[in-house]
Amino acid sequence: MKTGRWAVLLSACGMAWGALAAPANVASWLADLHQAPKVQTYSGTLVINVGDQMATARIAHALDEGQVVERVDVLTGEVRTTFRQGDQVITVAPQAKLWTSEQRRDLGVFPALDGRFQASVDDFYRLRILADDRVAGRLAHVVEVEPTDAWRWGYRIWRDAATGLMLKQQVLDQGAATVLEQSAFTTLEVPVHVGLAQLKAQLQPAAGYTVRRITTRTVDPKQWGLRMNEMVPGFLPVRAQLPAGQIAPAAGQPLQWVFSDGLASVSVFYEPLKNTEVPPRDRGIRQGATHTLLREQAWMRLTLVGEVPLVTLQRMAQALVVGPTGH
Amino acid sequence: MSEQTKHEWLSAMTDDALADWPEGQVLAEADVHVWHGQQLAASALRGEPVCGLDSTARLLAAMQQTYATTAVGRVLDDQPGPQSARWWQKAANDAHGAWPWAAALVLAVGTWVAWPNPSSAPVVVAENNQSLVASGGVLRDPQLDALLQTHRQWGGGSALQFPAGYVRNVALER
Repeated sequence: MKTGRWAVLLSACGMAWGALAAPANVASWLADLHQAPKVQTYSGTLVINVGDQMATARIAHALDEGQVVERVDVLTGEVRTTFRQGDQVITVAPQAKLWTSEQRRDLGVFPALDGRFQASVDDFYRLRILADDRVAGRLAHVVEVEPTDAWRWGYRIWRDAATGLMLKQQVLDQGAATVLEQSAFTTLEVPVHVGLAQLKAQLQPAAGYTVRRITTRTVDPKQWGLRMNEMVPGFLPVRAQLPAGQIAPAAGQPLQWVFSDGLASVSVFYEPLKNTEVPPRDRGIRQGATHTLLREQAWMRLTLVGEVPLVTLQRMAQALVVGPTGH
Repeated sequence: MSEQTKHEWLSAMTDDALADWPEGQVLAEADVHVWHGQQLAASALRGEPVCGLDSTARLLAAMQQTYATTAVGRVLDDQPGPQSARWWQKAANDAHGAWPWAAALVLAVGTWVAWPNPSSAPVVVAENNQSLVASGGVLRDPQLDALLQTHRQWGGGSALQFPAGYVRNVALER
């Protein structure tokens, strides 16, 4: 009898431990991942490998009354520092004496949180728990986010066991045979004291700098006869935009229409052309996990860019319909 | 070829001005060694892995075969259809022999292939719905480059935005 009760107790503990270890579903796991940086301060160095490009950046991440304040120093190439406060992003280029401010909507908003992408992420990806690993000297739980079809890449994510922060991320091709690109912290300090006052002071332009403010406006692609037929499964429109002050898309000044399945995003750039003698031509280019598809035909040029297989961009290009008002 | 012209063409080669290489002009073996030494110094200053001359030669041999068997043109060539004979194809038939032609190919590929792994460079994966027609090549279309940057800046909407996704995009911006 006593043995039976112990067996039941141990079984219950095992089930509870299993429940804690196994994510409930992809969307909730990703929401939890997305939440981790919003509740702690940290600093570290990130190394990024994309195709034949390598870049490193030092990041200082702080919280100011619930809002993220962040500084990123790019350590490769031209000297450049980016500051972020909420959805305002400021880039300072000391060599060019250029101070640029942008309002980037959707920063800090995980698509699944608004409900539209929750079903998509759960339908088209599944989680697989891998063995624990170490990154930047910290114990990490490793999860593979596998695609359920050929329209998207897979991901492998290392999360810090202590804080839930992402330590390393890989984008994987079909079958997870090849790492297309990866980002990983080589050093990470959590928590860390970040001089908030000093950080916020640097959000203002310094004397002698050229100030540039970039804003965009949301538009409805239907205004120009654009619509998508038979979208790639799981991908939903996020927004379409033009630079503020631009009335309509034009050659060299495209409309950007962004789609996402919750993990991957695709930008469709549409430009109407006046030259009707352009011979039809397709060109696909890949760098790391990012494909670019350029399609030129009479009356328009489409450029699709996204961290997806080329077939996905080709399918989206085929699905785009330009009505008569698009000419 | 004068020294000034030689330096000008060396610079043009590293800027992917392959199509403008004058017909019949080749560089001597000594010039290749001088250029290779300059690239070693530049790579070391940038903290990048450096290629030995022997590994460059091996890469060159692989590229010789590639260029000899495929009609490789610039990624953004505006002349669809069969490519006219390019300078490297003409040099292959040149009476000077294989080494000067090989030297020219080293100059063309050395700056953007630091590792003997051409597949890591931007690749043309499809053209006019055909299967892979070429590998290697430098993405130099400013407009495409600008759209790629715009996608990285404004094409968000991913659960993997933070921290790696956002910092990745910032670090890759130019």
